[in-house]
Amino acid sequence: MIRKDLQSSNLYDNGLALTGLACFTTHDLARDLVNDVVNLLSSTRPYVRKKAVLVLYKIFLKYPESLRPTFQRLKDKLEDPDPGVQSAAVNVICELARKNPRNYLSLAPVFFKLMNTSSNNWMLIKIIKLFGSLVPLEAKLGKKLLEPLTNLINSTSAMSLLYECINTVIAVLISISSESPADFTASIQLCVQKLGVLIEDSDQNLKYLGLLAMGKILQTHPKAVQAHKDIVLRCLDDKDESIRLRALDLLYGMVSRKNIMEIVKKLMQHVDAAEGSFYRDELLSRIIDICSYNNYHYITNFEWYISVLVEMTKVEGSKHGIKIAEQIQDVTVRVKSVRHFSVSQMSLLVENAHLLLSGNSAQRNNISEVLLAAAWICGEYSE
Amino acid sequence: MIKAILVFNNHGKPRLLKFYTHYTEEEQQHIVRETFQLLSKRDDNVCNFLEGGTLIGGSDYKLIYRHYATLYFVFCVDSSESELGILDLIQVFVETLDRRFENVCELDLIFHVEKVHHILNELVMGGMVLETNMNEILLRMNEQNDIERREGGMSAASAVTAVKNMNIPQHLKDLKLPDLPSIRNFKNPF
Repeated sequence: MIRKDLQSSNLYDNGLALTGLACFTTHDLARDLVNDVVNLLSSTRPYVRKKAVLVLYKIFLKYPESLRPTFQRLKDKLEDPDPGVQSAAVNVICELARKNPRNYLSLAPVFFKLMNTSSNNWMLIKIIKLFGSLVPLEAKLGKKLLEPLTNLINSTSAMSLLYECINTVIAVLISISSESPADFTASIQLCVQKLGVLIEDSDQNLKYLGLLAMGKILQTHPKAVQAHKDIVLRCLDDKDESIRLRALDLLYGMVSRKNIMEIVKKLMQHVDAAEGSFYRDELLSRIIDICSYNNYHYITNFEWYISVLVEMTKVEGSKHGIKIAEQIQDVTVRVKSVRHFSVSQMSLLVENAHLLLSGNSAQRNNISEVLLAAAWICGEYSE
Repeated sequence: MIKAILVFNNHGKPRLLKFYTHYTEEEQQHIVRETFQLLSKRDDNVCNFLEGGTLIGGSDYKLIYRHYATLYFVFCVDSSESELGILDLIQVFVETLDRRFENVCELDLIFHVEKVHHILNELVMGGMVLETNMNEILLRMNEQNDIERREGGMSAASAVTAVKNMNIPQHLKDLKLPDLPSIRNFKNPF
């Protein structure tokens, strides 16, 4: 029945059959019908060709043996005169490449040409995203891409395209970060500048995306984002939880010895006010990560840090009992001067153990980890 | 790739559900409930991207949504899709519905589910974006509707003529009833 529809001359019969196939195709159906679908790739109507291309992806998923023989036909569609069909072909190849990027590296020149000639934003976005995933595999590709991407960044008015270009440039920069960075400061500066504009925009979506991308730059070029420290700190107070989460990511680059206490205090206030346990856990683990970063590089007052850790123990519903316990132990063991203070705090905890253990079983597990550490410390270092 | 498209109202009642990967009924209901819980807590002027769901979420998936009056339109996508592009796509979808139904409202979605599904099939197929131009989609929908009307017209007309041609009283007279079995042949059970 499906074959009859696929071979019908009415384009809507074809369309319906293809749509249906996309929903319910199975291994056997795919095997039997792949030839009919491939015939439709050469239909005179772009509407049918477009749909046939997209269905091919589902067929490849269910019947992988069909990929090799039909791949050449799929590649031909990249040069189809109709932009919709081209776009569909790009879509399918991008999806395939996500699973297995290396196989599609050879198509890079074709995509390069498409990128320079097309004006269809959707297709450009897909191609640029594809390049973003290919770049880690081939360093030369990255360098070749920098110039056209920079041109696009400077010329486009579409925010979505701008954002994707910046993302891919960041991917390029990360992949070639091992080489001399001085050559690429211009690109980095451009990205950071554009992202700064995004973050300052009143549209929350742009703010979110700007923070997301800046977080990626941070990993390889932390100094570059220093210029926007103030804005990011302000984002920590934003009423939108997603934005706060992203601002947390950037904290690593923003923290310094002078402002760490203030930042942690602010974060603890957020912990108290936080509604969702997911967010609260993120906050707690971030606080610990920042403080312990680089061997406690930023902490000047360890007594303050121990009191922060004790406060965290009292937070309800936290999943980080082990981490907190490790931290307390680590600090107490390594910093001799703080042991006295630590012991006094730990003994308070142990005395009030019955209060702390009154929560439900999940909480009890966490708190008991800390109590274990507390008891050990008291035993080791009390005088 | 788009994993799922959900449309539900302010009370969490689903109006349109389309999943592009297989989930059981129970999982689907769970996903809708969880998504509704996550979204109902959000203010109206926060950003339209969400992460952090457990079932349909996961590290690679985002929920991109738009809230229009009484309805939430949610697209669950992975990292291969552009976030701002999907936001535009939701806008195109809603505008197409608006043109098709002339000032679309929730009742239109309830009473004309199949039309909404048709429009969605022109927009997204197999989890990938098929067409982003509203006029093109409307053109296809109109052509398909014309075909439907023509075919529907023909079969309705032939059904009516067939009924007219049936001569019911004559048929009743010609009805041959089966013979009743003769009582004499029954053995007396008592």
